[in-house]
Amino acid sequence: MLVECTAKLDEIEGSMYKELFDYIGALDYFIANPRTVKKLDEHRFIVKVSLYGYEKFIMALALIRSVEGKKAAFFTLYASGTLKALSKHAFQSMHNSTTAREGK
Amino acid sequence: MDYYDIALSSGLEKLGGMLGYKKILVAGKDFPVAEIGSNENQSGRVAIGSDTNTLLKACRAFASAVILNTYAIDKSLIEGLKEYHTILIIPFNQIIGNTGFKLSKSLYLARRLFLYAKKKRIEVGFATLADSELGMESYIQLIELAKLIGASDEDARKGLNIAGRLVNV
Repeated sequence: MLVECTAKLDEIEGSMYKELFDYIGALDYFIANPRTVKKLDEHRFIVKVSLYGYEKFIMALALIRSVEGKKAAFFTLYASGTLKALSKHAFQSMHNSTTAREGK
Repeated sequence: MDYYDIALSSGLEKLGGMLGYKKILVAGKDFPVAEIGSNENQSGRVAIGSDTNTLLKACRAFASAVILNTYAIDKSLIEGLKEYHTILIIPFNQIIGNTGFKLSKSLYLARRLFLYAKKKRIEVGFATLADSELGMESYIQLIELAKLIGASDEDARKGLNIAGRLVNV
């Protein structure tokens, strides 16, 4: 999964998984088993999730609006089975993201 | 299939490309908003509100779509939507902002509303109705949230496509 966070990733990464755990629950978290595979920049990263738990992972990520009291939203931008496809999509959409944020 | 989202404040439409939408529609800018309580013809307009009586009035005045800000089921409104072939749009802004017990209750009510509308064969759309970046979702997330309230994959994708019709009204 290619994920974008509105807050800086370094500040919230550890707590993000705690928050995810609260939404998914202990029984489903171990099935999804989400792990950060690659950090692309300070807002974007690639997460590896089990095929059996990816739907719950997306739902939980959609509902998180604060991490450790800091306001943060997560956007699942793309989902694919291969790291290559995700990296390619990340590179292509990097321009969109930069122009959208700078345009605000 | 192209996906569309509806937002309340302008400036958010710039995020559309990044989040996977063809366009993020801004209420009042990309489509006209119906004047609630007015007796004039509201054809081509979208009614937004939580009072079901005034929404029903807008529906009778031929509004194209109704965005119901509350998840309470009003049978007369649903019948009105069916009779006048009006689109019902379920916003996720109350689900996204909530946590804990309130979140569960909102999900339950939204699910009940969606399943009742589906049973009555009303066209249902989904939108975030966000007023800031924190209220936004990507199209992948919105599809999963629609599934969470009982929609099938096909219903969810169609629901995100429906808002596109409002551009041409």
